[in-house]
Amino acid sequence: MSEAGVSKDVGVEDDAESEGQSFVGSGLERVEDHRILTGEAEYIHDIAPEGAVHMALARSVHPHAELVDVDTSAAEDHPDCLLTLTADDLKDDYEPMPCGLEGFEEWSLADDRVRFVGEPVVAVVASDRYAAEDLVDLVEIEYEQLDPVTDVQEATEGDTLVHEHAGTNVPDSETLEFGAVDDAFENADNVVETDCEWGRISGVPLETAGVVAQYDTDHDSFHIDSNIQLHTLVDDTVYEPLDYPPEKVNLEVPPDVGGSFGTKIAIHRYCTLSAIASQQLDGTPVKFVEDRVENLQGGDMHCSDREYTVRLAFDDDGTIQGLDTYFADDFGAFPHYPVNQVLKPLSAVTNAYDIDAVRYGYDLVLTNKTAQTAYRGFGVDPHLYALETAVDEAARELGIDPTDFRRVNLIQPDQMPYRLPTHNIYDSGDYPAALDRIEELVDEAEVCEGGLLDPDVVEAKREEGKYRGVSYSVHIEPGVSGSDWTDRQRTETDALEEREREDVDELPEHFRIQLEGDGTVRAFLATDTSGQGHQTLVSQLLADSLGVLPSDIEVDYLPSVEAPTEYGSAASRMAVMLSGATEGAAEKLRENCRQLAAEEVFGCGVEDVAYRDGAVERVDGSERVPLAELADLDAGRNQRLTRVSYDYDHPATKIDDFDEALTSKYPVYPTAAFAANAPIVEVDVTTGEVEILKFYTLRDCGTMLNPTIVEGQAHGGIAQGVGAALMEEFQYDGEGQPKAITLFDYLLPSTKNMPDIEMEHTETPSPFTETGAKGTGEGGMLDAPASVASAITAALEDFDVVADQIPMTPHRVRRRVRDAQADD
Amino acid sequence: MIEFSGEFDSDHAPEQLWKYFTDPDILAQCAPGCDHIEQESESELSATVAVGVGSVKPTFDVDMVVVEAQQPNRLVMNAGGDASRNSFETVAEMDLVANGSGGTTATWHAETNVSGLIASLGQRALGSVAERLVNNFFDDLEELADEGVPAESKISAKPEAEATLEE
Repeated sequence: MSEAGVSKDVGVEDDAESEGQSFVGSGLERVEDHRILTGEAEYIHDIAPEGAVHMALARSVHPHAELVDVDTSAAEDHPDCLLTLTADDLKDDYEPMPCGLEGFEEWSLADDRVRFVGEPVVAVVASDRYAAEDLVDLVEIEYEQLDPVTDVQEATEGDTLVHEHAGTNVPDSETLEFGAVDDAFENADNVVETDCEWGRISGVPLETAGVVAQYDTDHDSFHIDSNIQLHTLVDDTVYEPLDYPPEKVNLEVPPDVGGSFGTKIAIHRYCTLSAIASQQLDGTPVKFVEDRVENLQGGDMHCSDREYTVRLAFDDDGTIQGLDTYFADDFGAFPHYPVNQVLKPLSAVTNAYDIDAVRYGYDLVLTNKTAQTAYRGFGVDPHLYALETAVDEAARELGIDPTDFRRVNLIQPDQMPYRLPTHNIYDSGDYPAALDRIEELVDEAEVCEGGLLDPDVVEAKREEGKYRGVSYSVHIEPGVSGSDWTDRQRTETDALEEREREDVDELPEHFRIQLEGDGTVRAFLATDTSGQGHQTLVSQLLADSLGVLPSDIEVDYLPSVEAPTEYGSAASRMAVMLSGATEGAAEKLRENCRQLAAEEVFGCGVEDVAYRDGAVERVDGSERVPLAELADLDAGRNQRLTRVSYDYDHPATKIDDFDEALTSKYPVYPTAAFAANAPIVEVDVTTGEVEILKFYTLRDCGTMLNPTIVEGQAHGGIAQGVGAALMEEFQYDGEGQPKAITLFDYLLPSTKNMPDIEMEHTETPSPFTETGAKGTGEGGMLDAPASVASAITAALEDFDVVADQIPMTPHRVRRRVRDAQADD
Repeated sequence: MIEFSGEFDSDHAPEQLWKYFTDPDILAQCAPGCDHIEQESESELSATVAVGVGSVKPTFDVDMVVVEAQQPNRLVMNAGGDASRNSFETVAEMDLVANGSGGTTATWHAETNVSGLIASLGQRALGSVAERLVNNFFDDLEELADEGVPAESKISAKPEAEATLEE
């Protein structure tokens, strides 16, 4: 594998860099892929301790009902039954699950009332899953059905309450103002108002949520293997319901997880239940893996489901003066942790546009649907879509080309770093150049004879009822969230006002390295991974900075008890945080190696020792000691110099300009990757089908540590974005029954739906980060839906149709075209 | 809520047909997937019924209450059933009207709520499945009437019962 694709030297500024070659920046093949492609990867399902028994869950068939009676006796009488658990059993010895807002109590099993179809009511355990599923059939649950509330408008009116004690279905709402919003709207030449909807969409990882939990009777502690995401950050969601201290609950994530995209952050219900079951069974390991229906129906994994009203104030020359957005977000039955999903868009609130006055309002609405969790983009994707839809309407209102309208309003390179009215800062980038470049690419390749947008072809296709269109737009991908923000968001307003900069408690990225006797460099990540390629990233960085080969490096993971509390892999953090931590740790190790050699081998001053090419040597070149020999030299010392740990601080904490945001409620995302997109779509107005003929995209995530991974992230993200734009949705019927609980109804894009992607990259390093990298884990999903919708709007310009609903499924397109034709 | 309705022509007079529609033993023979029917009271029946809708094949424990029985013209029932991972409730009404040629035209209408997998997975197929089941039921019943199998009206309406989907 090694040197293939080595292309450039990003300039590691130290003496480890000797050959002018580096692994960083090369498309080094992912070290994870061999084991994945050869079937040797170990997923949660592969963890099968001897004697493990299996849990299955009886789930509610009703969206809203009183639990009149839960009768487990028939299941318990069955010889295969090892254990049944109900909420009453949990309440004896355990605690409820933490919720995202104060005042809501949720037990791992429904207590007294069920609030969504699929809500677990009873857990049963048997020696195998088949038997456990059969036992579920023997559980008798008597319900007294209540009216469900499934519509945001209805829920807001509050005639039926999802949580009676709360007195409202809108437990959180806010309107934030930045700049002179009223003035902007009064003084601007024009105002447009756009309504649009974003459907209930989420990540559907190949691997569902799973747990193997074991209670240790000797030590009164738990060992829990789970494919949970952010295991050191959200371990409280597991140990608190168990009512044990953190050091008694060891949570470990397998080295391979079959995707998460945010959706496995909140799977603690399963961890807790399996652990409780194991404890009740005197330490017998208990396993649970969701089946696909469970995952899609009641797996607490749906995401943003919003109705927007966006107002734009703009002058006749196209200058946008003000932005006013409001949305209602259908959060489902419980306000789970990602309540700050409604606020993250503040970090990119004007997208790539220079707008001073912004109003931002939302209502978080509870309904009888499965609860929301995080999904790639964390609520920014609907915001960008709503904003760009309004921009298209504004351009149409003015009668100017939407690309020109966008260009007029882009943030200029001399404004960088650019401070948003909402206090976040874009670090670097030339957005106008990106827009020009993507337009130029399409012009040259497609708006010409033989191209997809050859005017003659476009015209001929229209005769057949096939309307082609393209839209050029630039999108910001805010990266590298901090953990402190979650605390800030939950802080009362008064307390927040008194908050000082020193109160900001941001979690660094923790990283460890140790030298092994055989010369192996063993690294330990304090975070879990779900396909991002962290092992590859660390291998590349360490290979360069320690002057060894990637094959000499092994990357392991720290379990939750041993690892410090970490934020983990989310919010496009790891390229920035992990690369910063790796660089820092490697530098420390190099220094330590020099000291060790000076004191234990050469008997000279440290200044006479150099670290070079995976070894230390005397600067006069007379003696050289390879890493393998150093490993044991410090065995007798008080301090092991060949074991180092390093904490890389969150970059925003090092930059004073972020202080205002850090002390208030506003999200801080110190890197701004960006993408200029130009999808070319063809809309069949007879059937309503939309085909993306080609997806042009120019992407910039600062320094590309591994271009192959960067490209992979973008491809996957665009695939999810295409699915969101055209196909995916967790719909419910009027009675609260979910309509998409299999992959037959929740439509994921396949190779058949995926367009050819023409991708180009630029590199504008971040001035805020150690390696110049910017977070780019959410791109594609963030920007493709907005771009595809805008291209559909462009294609249907003649009909005056706006793609004002995501996903734009064929019947929705067709209905809009039909309505437009009826109006004429 | 899903609504179903249909019409069925019989060669037999309403008075004759009525006996078949109100004899639990006849119903048990004709109802597709019905294992047995128990008569709990004058107006209450319980049954075990297996239904296959697409990939979902639940077996329901069904309770039925006769809320209207205007011999020989009108029959209204509430029914509800629970099965593992599924449940349903329905109000079904049927009117028997003599046609000119000595036979009967039966018109029926049902409003149904389904919950669980059958709602999520079976919705697409539910309409055609219901139609097929009801047609089979009428065909089987007509056949028994043709054969002259003895039938006896055994049920009557429950006093003050109402036809409603809300329990």
